[in-house]
Amino acid sequence: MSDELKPDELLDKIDHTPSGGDWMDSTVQIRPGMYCYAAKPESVQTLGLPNARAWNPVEDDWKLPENWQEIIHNGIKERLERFRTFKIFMDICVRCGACADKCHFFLGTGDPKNMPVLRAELLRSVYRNDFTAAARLLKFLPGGDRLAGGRPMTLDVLKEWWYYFFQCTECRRCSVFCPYGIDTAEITIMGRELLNLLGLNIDWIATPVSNCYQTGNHLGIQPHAFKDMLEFFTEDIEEITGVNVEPQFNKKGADILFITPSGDVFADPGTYTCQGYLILFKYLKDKYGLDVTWSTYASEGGNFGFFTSHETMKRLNAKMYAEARRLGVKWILGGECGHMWRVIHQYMDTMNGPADFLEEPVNPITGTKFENAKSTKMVHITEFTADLIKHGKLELDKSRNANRIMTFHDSCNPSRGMGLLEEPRYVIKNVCDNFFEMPENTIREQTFCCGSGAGLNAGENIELRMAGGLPRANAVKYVHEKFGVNTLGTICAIDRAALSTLMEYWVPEVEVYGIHELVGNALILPGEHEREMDLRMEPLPGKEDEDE
Amino acid sequence: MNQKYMLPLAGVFLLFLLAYAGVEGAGLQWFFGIVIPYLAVIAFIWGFVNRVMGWAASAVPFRIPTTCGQQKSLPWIKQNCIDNPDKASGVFIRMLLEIFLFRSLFRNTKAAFNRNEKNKLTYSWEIFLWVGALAFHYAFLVVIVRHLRFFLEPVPACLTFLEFMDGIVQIGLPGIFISGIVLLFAALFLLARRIFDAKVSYISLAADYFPLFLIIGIAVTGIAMRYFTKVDIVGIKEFTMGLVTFHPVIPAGVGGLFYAHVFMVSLLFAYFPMSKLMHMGGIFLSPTRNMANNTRAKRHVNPWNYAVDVHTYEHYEDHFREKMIEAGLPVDKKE
Amino acid sequence: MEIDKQLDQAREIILNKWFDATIHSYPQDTARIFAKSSNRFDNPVGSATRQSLDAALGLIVDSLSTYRELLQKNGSALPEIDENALEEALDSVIRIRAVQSFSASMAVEFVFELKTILKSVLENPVNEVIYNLVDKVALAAFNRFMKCREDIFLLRANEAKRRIHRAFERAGLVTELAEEELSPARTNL
Repeated sequence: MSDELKPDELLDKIDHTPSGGDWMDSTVQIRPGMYCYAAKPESVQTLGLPNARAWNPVEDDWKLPENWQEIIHNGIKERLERFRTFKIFMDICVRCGACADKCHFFLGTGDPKNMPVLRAELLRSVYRNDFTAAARLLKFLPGGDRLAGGRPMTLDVLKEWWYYFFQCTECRRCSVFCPYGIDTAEITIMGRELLNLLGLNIDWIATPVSNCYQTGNHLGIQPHAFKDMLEFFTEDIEEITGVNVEPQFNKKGADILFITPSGDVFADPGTYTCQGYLILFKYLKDKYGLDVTWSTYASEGGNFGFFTSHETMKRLNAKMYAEARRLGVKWILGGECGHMWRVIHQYMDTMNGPADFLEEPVNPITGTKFENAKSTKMVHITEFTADLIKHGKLELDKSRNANRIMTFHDSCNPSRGMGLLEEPRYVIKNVCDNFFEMPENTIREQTFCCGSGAGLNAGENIELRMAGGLPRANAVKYVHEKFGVNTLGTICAIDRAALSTLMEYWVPEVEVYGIHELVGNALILPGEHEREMDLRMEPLPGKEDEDE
Repeated sequence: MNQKYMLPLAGVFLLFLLAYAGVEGAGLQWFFGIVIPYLAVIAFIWGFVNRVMGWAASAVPFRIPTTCGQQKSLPWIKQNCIDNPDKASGVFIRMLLEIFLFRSLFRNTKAAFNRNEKNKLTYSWEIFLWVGALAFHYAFLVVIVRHLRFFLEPVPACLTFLEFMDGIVQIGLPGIFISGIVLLFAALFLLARRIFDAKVSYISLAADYFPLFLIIGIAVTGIAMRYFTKVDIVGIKEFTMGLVTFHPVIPAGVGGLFYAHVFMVSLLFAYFPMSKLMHMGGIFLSPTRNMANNTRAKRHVNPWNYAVDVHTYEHYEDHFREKMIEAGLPVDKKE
Repeated sequence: MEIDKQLDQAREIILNKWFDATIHSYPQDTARIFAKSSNRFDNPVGSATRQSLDAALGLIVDSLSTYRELLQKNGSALPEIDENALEEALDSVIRIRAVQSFSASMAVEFVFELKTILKSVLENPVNEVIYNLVDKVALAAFNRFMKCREDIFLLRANEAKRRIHRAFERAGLVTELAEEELSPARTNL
């Protein structure tokens, strides 16, 4: 396959050289295993984004437009006016170094330019050169631009931007420790927007964006195939439980529209989480008459547009409200996903609202008003399930998860861009008896990223991902050794895919589970036969012998 | 030798000499004592206001606080009202803690003291960044407030009280002001950290060293005047009162050291708005800290929100209608 | 004093020197942070490296004392070291270096630093026996490095499989998807 390293590429690997000296002087070495392939022109064209062409990052010629420096300059200027965050973060960093060792990519790769402060300085140095009074004054002195900490926008600088802005997962951990709240995610977002003005995206982002725009989801699953896939789950679940959980699609007048990342519909082990949702909705329908619909049009919760530009994010996100309006549902329920929830929580209402055609979300079964979602009108599924459990509305058999010794990975976006910390823990503790936290400095707002977020979970950059995920894996390894943890719970589709690979490399004894997979295992459906298997079709605890 | 700090060091030293020699040799008291301070204050005020207005002029399109605790959600889940505020009051407290206690920097220090595998107590230097930064900023504040006595007549009681507290450790004559000493040592510590901590030295720019050297220069000249050369306080008060009442006078018997001190302070003022020192103003406006995390409850409006091309459902159905009908999916138009 | 006892006594010093030498294969600014004995979760590379080196050093000491005992008992012996245990001991440090863009030689070079360090620290002349043991450590490190590199290639293959739910394979749905559609760009989250 195309994403495998060729032998000569492996030999090309460059050793670490002690840098010393000035970081502005060293030129970037684009290393195999650390970068993602360039966007294909077709994918860039779908949305009419600029400078679609075939190009290769390791070649000298990046096929840039003639006036690329001018485009970048104007792009920075425009964004300084549009985003106070950008302007302030360009101006006020004092380079205190508090963030330096907070980045998982720095801790894992050891590359000093992965220190958050330097990642930002890559852009800041150009900003200082082009936009500040100090640089204008000092330019008259020999070497004055360096004194002002500026450098002109050259091709080397551009390549450095590209290399390092696609080595940031926008996880915001550094921002927690910054005395001024400088958020490297915000700077990476701006950096990537600027790069996209020149058509410098990576394929792992550009192609899902293109798919999502045309077919409604990142994988490009067409409507009939989407339905087929959920029907396969239905068959599996019927085999396991004896109950037909058949979902509804594009149903007008349903109570709730449910949207989850398409990864859950397609990729293991997210598929088991998806089966958990199906079981939950069937249960609620039979017991309480709750009418939930899926949509094939808005069949993607995730938003890789967020990793491209604010505008692209808005264009992809528009489908959620459009579909909710068309179907006439009361409110929207969102599945387990990380960046999807940052977009919904902090951007959606502002970009595509107001959602005045929806009702303020109320759980019809418990009567709970979701006050915190009364404007956006979208509720996180763990908020929803936690509320159901709290009111005793779910019949749960914890023993079916008795073989799972759990820990929980807080996904970056729900923890630092939302604050969803207790809800998933509450659900876990109610469906499983064995739960152990990882060390304090690796969870909640200090959680370490999986190393594959923000569109970086490709195959060709696997070394970057494994190195970036090291701090997370290291903490999992600790609880595995100390408490015998064998299950890593998570509420993010990228995590489910990426952490599985990460665990395979660092702690192979640990499996990755979505929270609603555990719910699906524990929930006792009306009319089900005695279950022998869990959703992965493995024997349930206590049923192992019968299986043989 | 590292250019990044040698140049600023040489620069500050030259500037000091310039003022000292200018006064002692060329008798330019009026220039360094009157013209420069007025210009510096104008540059400071104009620059500061300009910078803050510039920031304020930029839009805040999205509400993107960094949340550092449990959100407000279900009534029975305890919210962290300060680290994840959903109301203005919480934001206010968060900002207070941030501004007065450098809370985020403190987070850094949680892991400062640990026991390693062999149960030996280990520590990292990070806590000293927080301590050093606090000491530096508070000492600076006290020193500035204390200097107000030169610009106010009569001196308000609260200033006298502050001076009394500052000089409560009575050693020598004139009594030692703790603030000046702390300021000097804290600045030296921050400088040493920049030079000797490889990670910080790697990220530091000339622009990080220059203000430090300048502040050290100011502190040293100030301390020298108070404790060693014992300048004529009455003359200086006459001079400073002249400046604030816009009737500048040049007192007799005040030497070059004083003008060098004033010159460096003026430079700091003039340099302030065009440098990273503006973090003093920026922290108030930082959107990841000064906004409430209530985006889903209360709609935030983006002033430049513009319409974009989207792939509508109609397009989608047109494209997939046959397949949808075949798969038994509901469609809006059946043909 | 017997060399193994001497080595055991000086173990802390040797370990510190070896650790420093290893950590300085990273850029200077990085090495400074990795070398800090901070919380193991804030500094996984530093703590895993130290732990690995310590374990390997322990195996060398054990091997030397067994060798001495055998020598005293039988008059002749060959130094033995459990190669599996050695590979296990080195796993943490090598597993990390295998994903950090080191070339193979750079990834295991740190082992040879031990020779120089032992020569400078130990009073007794360092003999062939010790050099042989260090060579064995190097070979084990190289083995483990290759194993990790193979793991990495396997990871990709397995990940590509997981990107398609096995139910679809059973159902023959994936036959609809051409090989190129299985490439990562198409099967995204």
